[in-house]
Amino acid sequence: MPIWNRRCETMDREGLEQLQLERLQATVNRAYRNVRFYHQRLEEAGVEPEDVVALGDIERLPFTTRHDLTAAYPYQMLSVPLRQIVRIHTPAGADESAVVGYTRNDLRTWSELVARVISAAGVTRHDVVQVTFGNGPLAGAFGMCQGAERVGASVVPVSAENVERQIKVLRDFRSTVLVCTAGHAIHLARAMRRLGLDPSETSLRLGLFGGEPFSEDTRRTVESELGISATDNYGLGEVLGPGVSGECEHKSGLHVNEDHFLVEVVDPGSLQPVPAGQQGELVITTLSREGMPLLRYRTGALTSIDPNRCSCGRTTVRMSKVAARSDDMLTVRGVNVFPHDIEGLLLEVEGVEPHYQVIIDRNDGLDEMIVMVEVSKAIFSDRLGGLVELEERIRERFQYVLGLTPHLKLVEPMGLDRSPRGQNRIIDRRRL
Amino acid sequence: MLRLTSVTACYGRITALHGVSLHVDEGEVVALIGANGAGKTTLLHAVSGLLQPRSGSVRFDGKLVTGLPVERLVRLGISHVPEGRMLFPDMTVHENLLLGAYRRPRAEKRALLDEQFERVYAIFPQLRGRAAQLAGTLSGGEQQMLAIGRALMSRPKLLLLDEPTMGLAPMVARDILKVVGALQKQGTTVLMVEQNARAALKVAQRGYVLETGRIVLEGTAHELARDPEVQRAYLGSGYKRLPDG
Repeated sequence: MPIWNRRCETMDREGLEQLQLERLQATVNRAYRNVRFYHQRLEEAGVEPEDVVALGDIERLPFTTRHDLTAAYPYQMLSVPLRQIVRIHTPAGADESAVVGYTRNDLRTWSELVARVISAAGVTRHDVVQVTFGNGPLAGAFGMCQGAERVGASVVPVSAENVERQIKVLRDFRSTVLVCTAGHAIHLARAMRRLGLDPSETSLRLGLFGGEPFSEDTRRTVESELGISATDNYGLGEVLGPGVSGECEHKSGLHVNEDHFLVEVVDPGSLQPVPAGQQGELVITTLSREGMPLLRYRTGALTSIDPNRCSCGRTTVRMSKVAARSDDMLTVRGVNVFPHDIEGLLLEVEGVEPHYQVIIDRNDGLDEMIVMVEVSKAIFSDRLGGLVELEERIRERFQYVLGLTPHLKLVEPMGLDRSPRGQNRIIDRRRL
Repeated sequence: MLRLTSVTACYGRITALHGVSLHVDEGEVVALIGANGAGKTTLLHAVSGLLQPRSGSVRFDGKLVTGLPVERLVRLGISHVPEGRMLFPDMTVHENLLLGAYRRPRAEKRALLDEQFERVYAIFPQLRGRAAQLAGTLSGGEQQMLAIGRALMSRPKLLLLDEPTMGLAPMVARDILKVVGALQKQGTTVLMVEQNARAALKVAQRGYVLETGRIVLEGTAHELARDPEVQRAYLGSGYKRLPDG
């Protein structure tokens, strides 16, 4: 497979670490000077920017969490004036909003990094790349489209809503690359079968899957159903979007774009670094972000780092596929959902009791959310129209806040188990 | 080729560089831009041995050279063209150039020295015609050429240029920067400090922005030239102040 940026992706370690240190120092200098949050955090930690004299000094810097981003809503984390920001994304899911700003150079870097990731997966300018992610404010689809354009492929963005239309595009345009979540690919394959089409008979040759974790079992299923080679790629909207890391043809871990991200793996409890190869929470420091630099951002993703050289020729470290999280976040159809978001939005709906159960399952490869909610006595004994209206209100609320429409089951008062608070309220039946 | 890691340098009690890291790869032209007093010249001094870093390291060709005396560094291949040229005005052009070759051992063949003169005169044809003229009587542009020519006499691998276009007419400045590009083609690596950021970023492949002794931006010349912050502060682009609030 071609290496998109040979100079950057096959740099000797010494040169790479020098570059990382230079960029880390510049990032800390800018964050300290321009972002009040970091100025305060660094002062609280008793760290001056010039204390960072080696890469190992990163351990002296404070962490950043999703909560910090929320508290800085909307613009407090930006390190440049708003007039220099040319794109704003709001990372997936969550009632508690966060804002991620990009400068012109950030967008350029982003498409460069995605170009590297998709080249590693085998995409070239001869490909027709069908990008199917939920549209809206998610950075995923934007990033993948820009990266594919950078490589010179023909990019077809298709909304995730209408499966038949996707199949039509897939066949008519002879798409060779499918970019979506692994679950969606399975869903697509099954839908084709239902329409009497053979999913392995398309022009597709590659699948680039991101947005949600998937198992090796899922990979094998997608590969055989669609007759493709499937690779995983990782990124998160808070840091940039897709383009943080991706698998090469060897599918043995995701190559991290280390000249733009400094990655650490820490024990989620003690926050101390764990040795290479051991699982822990992924922590990312941006090295080139202008609009919104992040120091030691806790991603919540559990992974491990393999520093050994890959036979593809890249010298970058590889992270293992993200399989689990250190927090209670769930990814449903590529949207990040925290249980407290669900609780929060239910409680805002009048007539709903604070007793609910959410079941997340995978049907034909597609995630489904089933929400069972107890309703108040008053509403339950009211006319039927009241219940229908309530259902509608809850559905709208889910759509509005999370961008997901659940299957709803309204339950009579005391109809659900009274397990201790928080327990069994969210059941994830998917085997990821 | 050149690697600075967290270099801190002081003038007396004033810290002029706060942990600066940068690198210059072989064959590159790298520009260092920043306002007056940002520490650009100090940084060059720390590389060429004119100033001892207080902490941090300087590596050249893989060797640790932090704090080595100037003459050792010249022998290793680092040549510094200081700001203000520092020529000997009462000596001829030829003599000034010859001084640049002082490190050449006596035993070295005369032919080699002649070849070196020839090389410099080929780069700066104007100097050839003025070989016997006193340096002090040259124009500003010619003096700058002579200063660069003198530095080239030691056949450096790395050339440090401090404000090469300062005080020069735009046309002359352009000629000097053209020479920088030509030197690069001949295999000389250049680290350049330049007030004229726009011109510097045209010649350079990469650049660093220095602010009060700290590097705040690093990138390709193209990226830096497009950076609104750089444009506003160093490229003098139109800047409209928005009302507060």
